[in-house]
Amino acid sequence: MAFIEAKNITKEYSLGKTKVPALKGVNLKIDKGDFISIVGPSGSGKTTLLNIIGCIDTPTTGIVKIQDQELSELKDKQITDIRLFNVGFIFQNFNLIPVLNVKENVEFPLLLMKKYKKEEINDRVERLIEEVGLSDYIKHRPAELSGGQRQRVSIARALAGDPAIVLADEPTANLDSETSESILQLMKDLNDKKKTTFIFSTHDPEVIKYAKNIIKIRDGRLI
Amino acid sequence: MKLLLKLSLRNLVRQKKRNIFLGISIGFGMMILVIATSFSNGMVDVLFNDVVTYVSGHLVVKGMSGSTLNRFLISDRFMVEEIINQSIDDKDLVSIDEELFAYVRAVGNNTIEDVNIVGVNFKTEEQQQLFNEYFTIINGNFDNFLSEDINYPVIISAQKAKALNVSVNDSIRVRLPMVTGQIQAVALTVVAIARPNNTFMDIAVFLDNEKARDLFGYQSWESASLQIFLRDPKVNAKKYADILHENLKPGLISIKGNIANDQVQLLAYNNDAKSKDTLLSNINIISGDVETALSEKGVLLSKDVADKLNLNVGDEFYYSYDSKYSGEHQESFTLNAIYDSDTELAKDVLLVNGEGIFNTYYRFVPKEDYWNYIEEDSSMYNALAKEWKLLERSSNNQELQQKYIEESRIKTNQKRIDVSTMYEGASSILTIEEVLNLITMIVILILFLIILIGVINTLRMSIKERTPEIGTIRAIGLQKNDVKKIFVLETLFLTLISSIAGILLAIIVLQILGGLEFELNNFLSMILKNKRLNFIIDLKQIITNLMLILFISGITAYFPAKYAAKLPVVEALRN
Repeated sequence: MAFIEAKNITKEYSLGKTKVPALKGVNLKIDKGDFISIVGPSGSGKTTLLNIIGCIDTPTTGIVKIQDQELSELKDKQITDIRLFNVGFIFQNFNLIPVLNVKENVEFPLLLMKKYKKEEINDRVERLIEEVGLSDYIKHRPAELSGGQRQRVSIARALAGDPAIVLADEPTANLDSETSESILQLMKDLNDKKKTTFIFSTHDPEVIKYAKNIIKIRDGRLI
Repeated sequence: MKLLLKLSLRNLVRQKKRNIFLGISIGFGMMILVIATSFSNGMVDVLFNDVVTYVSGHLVVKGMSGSTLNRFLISDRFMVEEIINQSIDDKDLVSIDEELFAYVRAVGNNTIEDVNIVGVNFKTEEQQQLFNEYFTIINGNFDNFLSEDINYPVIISAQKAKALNVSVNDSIRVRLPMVTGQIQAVALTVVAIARPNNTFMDIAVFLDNEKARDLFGYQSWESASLQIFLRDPKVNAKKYADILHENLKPGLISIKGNIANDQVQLLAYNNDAKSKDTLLSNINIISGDVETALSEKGVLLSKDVADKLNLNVGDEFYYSYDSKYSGEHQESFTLNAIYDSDTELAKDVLLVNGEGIFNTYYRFVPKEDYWNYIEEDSSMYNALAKEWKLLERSSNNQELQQKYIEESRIKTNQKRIDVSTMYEGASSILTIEEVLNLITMIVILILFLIILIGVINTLRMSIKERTPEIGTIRAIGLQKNDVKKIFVLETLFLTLISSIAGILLAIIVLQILGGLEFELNNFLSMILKNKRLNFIIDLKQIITNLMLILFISGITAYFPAKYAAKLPVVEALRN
């Protein structure tokens, strides 16, 4: 049984009266521990596919199953819980919460889960921050960090709740090449160590070389 | 929840400028609200504790007679006081004060002015201190007020002293109606000039109670009216007025007395045609003229008594009885008719027209009232004169005035007893309270409008700016409900902090305003107490208003917050 399964999914966006297809019948199976790169040019449907896999968007038609659970049958509250407990997100623009410092950003999903004790949360968060190399910046707010540092915080936050899958939408798009490399290496290391499934979208050939598996997409279809 | 609180508070600080402006509006509104309610409370306090107290008391029992109901007399105030004590729970009763007063035209030094001569009791230091709470003596002193060597010493208000052009030791001449109906001209001596703490007391000229009693012609057991002061008058006044009214229902005029040495009961009949017809259907006139016998001076004696005492029509005789307070009283009658009856009236009964006995009955209250054998529901009972006429309760001042006008048209010596509350007696003054409450209400509404517009506007902008952030926290796993809570909490914090600041600021402003002294000699002085604006800060009321404002701001924030929570995650992230 695949961890994530997408069957014949399509997605259309409305632009006024015009319907714009973003995905045109995508079939996909992702297993645990994968390190997948979704590759394609801009507008090919990478982000839409990631959003649907990450349960923050719904397909127009087709079925998405996570651990054999069909998402269309679930209520918003249950889908939100799936995101919280199973999915970690790394955004292109980092999307950190500006009013929280590094530590608070990373512990945010853990506090929402309400299943860890305070000491446990502290240990876990401090360890993660150390792993992403930001121990000296624990009290810094996002505005006080560089782009690379922010993305590291974003990775730490995505991994905080030990999710089964981490989705990264062009995680290096806003970073210089050196920082991009270190971020990708970090993700790769975590995949090796923790067997966390990573799916990241990119059109950067330098990034693609890190992937174990590559899914190519063009005009809303996998090729 | 801790996480949501943290987020709300931090977001509040983050959008400083906008929130400070909204906070200032809410705080300013709250400040105005606290000032308005404190002013309103202060005014109500002045109205209730000074003005209404002075004008009508919380409850008043009045005895009225005369052609324009301008002669005030409660014949047996001790009896009425007893009924009041029985009617009102001790815990709700503050005091029962007898009230002796007369509205007169006073002549000063070449000027004429209307004044109200009011009897007061300043014999003890405590009573003088109480006076000092309401008045400041600016000229003269208390020492001469109780002097026996000075002719009717009075304390007069500064305003009246000025109007009458008099100072201490000057005389004021007045002509005043006595309770007996006579007019008496007297000179009052000004021994002190005082400034009352509110304008309603300007009209008063204070005279020692005992001297006022003597001047107005009241006996010690009589009073013009009785003022009753209650705890929580807003709740209790009407309730106890109704109970008191019920307990003041009159009995029949019935005196246990003697003609020569024979015990004879005096009963009085009503002077109206219906009552006279009823009387005639119960008795047979054996001798004497019916018309004369039923005239205002009509006197009828039962055959039993007339035979026993050998009295005939036209004979003059004395009827004597023990009065409650002034020993034996003798009344002279001329017999107009002798009757027989197959009812109880055939016994030892002297029947007189009520109009001929009312005045005597009121001035010489009988010691033993009546041994009543006439059934209350019989037609005869209704034909016999009652001790007084108890006026129906009025629900407002208009009804009260109308009632007095109608009563004054009825020509009778029978006394009318009326029970009224401040709501009828001083309703025009209490209207001021309603106006104040209305103003407060408007202030609250304006405040709500500020909150409504401000909060909606601020939240809309805030949501617009923070849409990607909403998308992020929703993507991470925050439930819709929690997003809603963050925005509502933000608004509640802002409202709470601003309101508390507004309340504190209001207290400072009130301290400053309350400390200022004003010299007002017009009707506006009514808003002053001891020359100062009277503010009463009611903490309970402030907390209630604060809760209400928090509730309104919470409700106002709810809908934009709901909108934020409902934003599709992917749309929010893309924004």
